Amino acid sequence: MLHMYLPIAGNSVNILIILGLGGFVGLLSGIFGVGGGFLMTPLLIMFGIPPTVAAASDSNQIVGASTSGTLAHWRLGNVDYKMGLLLLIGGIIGGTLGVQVIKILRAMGNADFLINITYVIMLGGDGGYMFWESLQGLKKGEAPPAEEESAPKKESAYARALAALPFQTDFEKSGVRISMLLPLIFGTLVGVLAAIMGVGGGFIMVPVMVYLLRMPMHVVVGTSLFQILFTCVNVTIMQAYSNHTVDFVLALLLLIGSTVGAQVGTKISKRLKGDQLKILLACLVLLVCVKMLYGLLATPDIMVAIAGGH
Amino acid sequence: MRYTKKSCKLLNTTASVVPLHLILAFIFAIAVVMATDNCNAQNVSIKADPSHIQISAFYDGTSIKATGTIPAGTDIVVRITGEGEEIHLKKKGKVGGLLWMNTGAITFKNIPAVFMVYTTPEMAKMENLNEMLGYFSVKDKVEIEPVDEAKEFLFKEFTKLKEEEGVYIIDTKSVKYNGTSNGERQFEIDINVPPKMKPGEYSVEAYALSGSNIVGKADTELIISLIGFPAWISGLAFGHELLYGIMAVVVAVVAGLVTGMIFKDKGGAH
Repeated sequence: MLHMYLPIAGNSVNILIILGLGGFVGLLSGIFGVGGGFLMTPLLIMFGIPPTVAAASDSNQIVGASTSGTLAHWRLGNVDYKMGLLLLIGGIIGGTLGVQVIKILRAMGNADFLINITYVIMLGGDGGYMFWESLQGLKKGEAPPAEEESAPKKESAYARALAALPFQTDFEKSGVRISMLLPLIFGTLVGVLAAIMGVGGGFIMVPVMVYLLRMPMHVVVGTSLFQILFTCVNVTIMQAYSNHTVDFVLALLLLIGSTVGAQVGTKISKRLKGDQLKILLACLVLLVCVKMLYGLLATPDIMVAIAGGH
Repeated sequence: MRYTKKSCKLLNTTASVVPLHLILAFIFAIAVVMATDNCNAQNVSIKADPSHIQISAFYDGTSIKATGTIPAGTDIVVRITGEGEEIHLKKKGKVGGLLWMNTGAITFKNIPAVFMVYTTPEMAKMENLNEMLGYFSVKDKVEIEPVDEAKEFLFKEFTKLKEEEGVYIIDTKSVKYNGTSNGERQFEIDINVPPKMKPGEYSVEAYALSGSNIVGKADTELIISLIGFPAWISGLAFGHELLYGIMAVVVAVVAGLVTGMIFKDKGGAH
């Protein structure tokens, strides 16, 4: 009774393990506003799920987790819909462009090299900078909340460039006044990267919102979840329709765990300071980066692998 | 009609050239070989119990018992193979002399999804068993695209991957002999059916070996099928793709909303 058969994955899984995995990733999703695809898919593959089914079913469960997380953050007033929609539009444009880029690279025969290098550089740079920056914040000892700490200390060249852009708009929830073009451009860039790397892009989008769009951390989490929800709805339907890789039973088990985890995560996120949140996410991102680097440097036991997945 | 005429003509021509006693000797030799073969085939039998496995919602693999007979003085090799399928793989290689990564895509065509071999430890030591009845016996039927010079190496790596998944097995511990009577040796094998064995038809073959010669063969069928909830889900996913995708999304959204409500009622989120 502890096992359940997954008809699309073609394997059985221990129900408690999958509920636990869902809970763990949901917790991260609620705390940091990331979809968790970059963690969940490798974990599912480890438990015997084919890579393509793991990635598609994970998107399905992220729909549930991000609905639950978005609802919780909406109640806390942490969702900037205007910003989220612009990022989403950019993300869709970028995703479409990214798929074309990958097609060209595959034809040229060096797509995998670029994917791996992008992964390591993005994870390492992203995690390293976030870690260093948050550590500086924590070292000050005052532990200022993210809202105050993210305010510019001096007028940098970047801030001046932002102010010079056309279509300046007030994003009330985020407390920033920036050009509408910025979230569109950054959304597109993240979309391209996400498509190349085959992930939802939450872990790139969050630092982009914090450092480049200068949004407060708590609004970033809610807005990121809102955007991820729509991205994953699209991915789930497309994967089910074109590739038959969505295992609904697996997704259902994962999302029972992840929706509960996301709620608990939101509560934890509320209690943590902005810098604490960032440093924890930085550690997680760096951990995945180290694992990825190890995978690239260590001689594999088997010289072939099943195609698909992230 | 034309075929029959041609055949008769050919037979007449042959008869006129080859002496009759040679033809008779040839026919007699074939009859002897066939009789021997038939005799061996009759001495080998195999039965799978159960021969039909049904996968329901809480299925986690099962086990079956293969029983049968081989001629006295011979040894048994039982082989379970799945239908040939197409598998897409990535080849790993070193880039820049430092980084290990996928260096190309390859497709294996007509490769058995499952390959399980059960025999005794003594038989497993036999030098050419792998080429005769083991993984390498199907190597020539498998096509690799794009054509690769390192076919043998890639095939070997593929079998390692499948062994890790538990669907390619060389088992030397499960064969039991239950004595010999009337010139027949009885065997019994407990076969573990892993959950990764997908629904389909599998061939269960018993080979009687005397030294390194196959002296007899018999086979039976093992069927694995989905029933109940897994059958319904599978039918929906492969028959009504769009509906299935929308249903998966709607259920996920509803589950997310319901959990959100439950937590609110308990005073959690706000």
